[in-house]
Amino acid sequence: MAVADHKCPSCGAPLKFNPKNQKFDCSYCKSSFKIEDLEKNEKKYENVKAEEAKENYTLDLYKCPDCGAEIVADENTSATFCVYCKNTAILKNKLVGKFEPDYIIPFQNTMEDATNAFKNICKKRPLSPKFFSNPENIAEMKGVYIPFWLFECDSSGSITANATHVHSWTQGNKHYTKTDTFLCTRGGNLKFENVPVDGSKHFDNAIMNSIEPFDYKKMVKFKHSYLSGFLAEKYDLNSDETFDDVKNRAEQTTENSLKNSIKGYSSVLVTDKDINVSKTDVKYALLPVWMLNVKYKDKIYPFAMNGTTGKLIGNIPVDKKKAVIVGICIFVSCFALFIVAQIIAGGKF
Amino acid sequence: MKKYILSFLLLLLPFSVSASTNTFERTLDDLRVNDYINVTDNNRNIILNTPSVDESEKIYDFADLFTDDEEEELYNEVIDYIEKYNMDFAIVTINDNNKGSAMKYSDDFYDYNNFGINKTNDGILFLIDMDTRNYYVSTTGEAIRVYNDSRIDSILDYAEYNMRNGNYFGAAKNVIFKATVFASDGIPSGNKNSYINEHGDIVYVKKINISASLIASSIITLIVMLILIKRNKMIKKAITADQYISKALNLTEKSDNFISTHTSVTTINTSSGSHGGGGSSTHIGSSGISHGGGGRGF
Repeated sequence: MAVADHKCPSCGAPLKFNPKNQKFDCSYCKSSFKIEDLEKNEKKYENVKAEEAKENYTLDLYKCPDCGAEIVADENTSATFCVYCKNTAILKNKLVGKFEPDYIIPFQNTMEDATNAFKNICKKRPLSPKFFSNPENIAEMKGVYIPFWLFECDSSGSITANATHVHSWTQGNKHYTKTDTFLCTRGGNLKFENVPVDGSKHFDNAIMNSIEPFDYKKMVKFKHSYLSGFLAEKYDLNSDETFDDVKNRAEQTTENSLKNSIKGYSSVLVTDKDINVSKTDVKYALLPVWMLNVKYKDKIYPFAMNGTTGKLIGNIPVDKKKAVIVGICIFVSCFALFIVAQIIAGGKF
Repeated sequence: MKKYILSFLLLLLPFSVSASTNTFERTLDDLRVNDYINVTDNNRNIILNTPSVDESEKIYDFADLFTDDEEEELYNEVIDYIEKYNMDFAIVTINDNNKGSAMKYSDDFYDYNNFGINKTNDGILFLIDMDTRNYYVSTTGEAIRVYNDSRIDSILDYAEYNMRNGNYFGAAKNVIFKATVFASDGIPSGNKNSYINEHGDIVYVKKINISASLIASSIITLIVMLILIKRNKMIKKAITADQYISKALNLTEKSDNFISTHTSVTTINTSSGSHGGGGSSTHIGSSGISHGGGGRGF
């Protein structure tokens, strides 16, 4: 039976991908290997069989009966609960069929990085409950490769806008304001590349939007070996189903670009637009995301960290008691400042 | 000995000629001014040229514009005013103005005689100057606060008709009447936050605005709190794809067509005064004491 993982050339134990050094580490003999070396090595010994292995490697598919999420993991990484709905009664099966994304960005940061990022998330956010500054309160944390569609698209269109040019001057005791109105038309085209949209139903798109951008420079051809130690999800929305989201974003950017090309006016109001976005290419890529869940007062607060840039996002509830205290402090110091400023300026009670 | 007799005669003067106005002679040795007047080389001659009078007479009709009965009537009204409002009041008429302007004469006459009540010499003086044909109202001390510029104007307006028609007694009565009305109205709003300092100057006090500070603090607190609350919400849906542009905008169409023009005109209101239009403007007399007031020709 062929396995998804690389085996340690020295001791034969399965290797785990380590985001820190971007190498495969052996947890038994503590050696680490570059993927290129491993492949060379494997080719030497397995030669033809290696090709076959790529086609027939074994991955496990975990299916959540609650939310329907399908999680992929290699046989050495087990999912004990659903990463989305926390259901522990997930069903393990052998993956049947293909799981062949085009690209993958391997994790660039570790669980420790995510813990540290969480420690600092309450800094400059004084209304956060103290609970959220302690990494011990992270209920679960998993590194998940999220299925993404990366769109390449062309956008073309035109807009019509009413632009005004306002000029004012004073003559004697009269103030004149002259408003010239122009009808401006702009047309043009632009291209987009790698606009990401997640192919998972179980995610609020806003969460994935908020951790953008991913570092595409680190993107490589998919190799199943990168999955070791992490979970991956199978897409359950195909690229056509997700394109609307990309289209809207590209349209808005096109409109803004055209609007920004109307220069030298006091105000620009778009009255009409006709923009077409067409996809020219789509890639299927797995992008690395650390999923953190914090359970606070019987509610789960999801956090996500970009596995390439380390950008951690999430909604932290507002601590009402803190909000009242902070509000009073701001108010009192503002008021004191105003009074002191007036006293300095010679004011009397 | 000679000086002694002279002063004795001068003392007798008020009793002997009651109808006309009595003056006392000023000499370099005895300038007959109050201690608080700072006598300098500049104002010594001015003091000598200012008649010294008995400040209790209140009506000084040098130009002989009033009859004895009129003088008595004016005197009674003035005394009523002084008792009621605790401010001095004097009426002066002159045929010969040796000081050039009605303003200077009024100020000097007031300052170099012992007019004024309280430490700030509160009081008002009405001068009819037949020489320069001006009439003038001069205010000192608290009277500066009571009679702001618009009230002075109003007094002058009220007396103008009688002044122009030669009814000087009527004009004097008009002035007393209006002055009484304003004194009973109290300090005008524009001068509420002011006081008269030891030099007789009106000083405007900037009031600390507590309610405006409260409102401004509330607004700032609200804005800061909204920013802080928004900071805790990091999950936002992306609406643009700006960072994924691989080829920047290539403009293929560009036109700017002029449609219309429109010009609006607004008239600028020149705001009147910095004290709500109710302030008092002052000037400093040769004595160094501040006075308010105003006058006009007739």
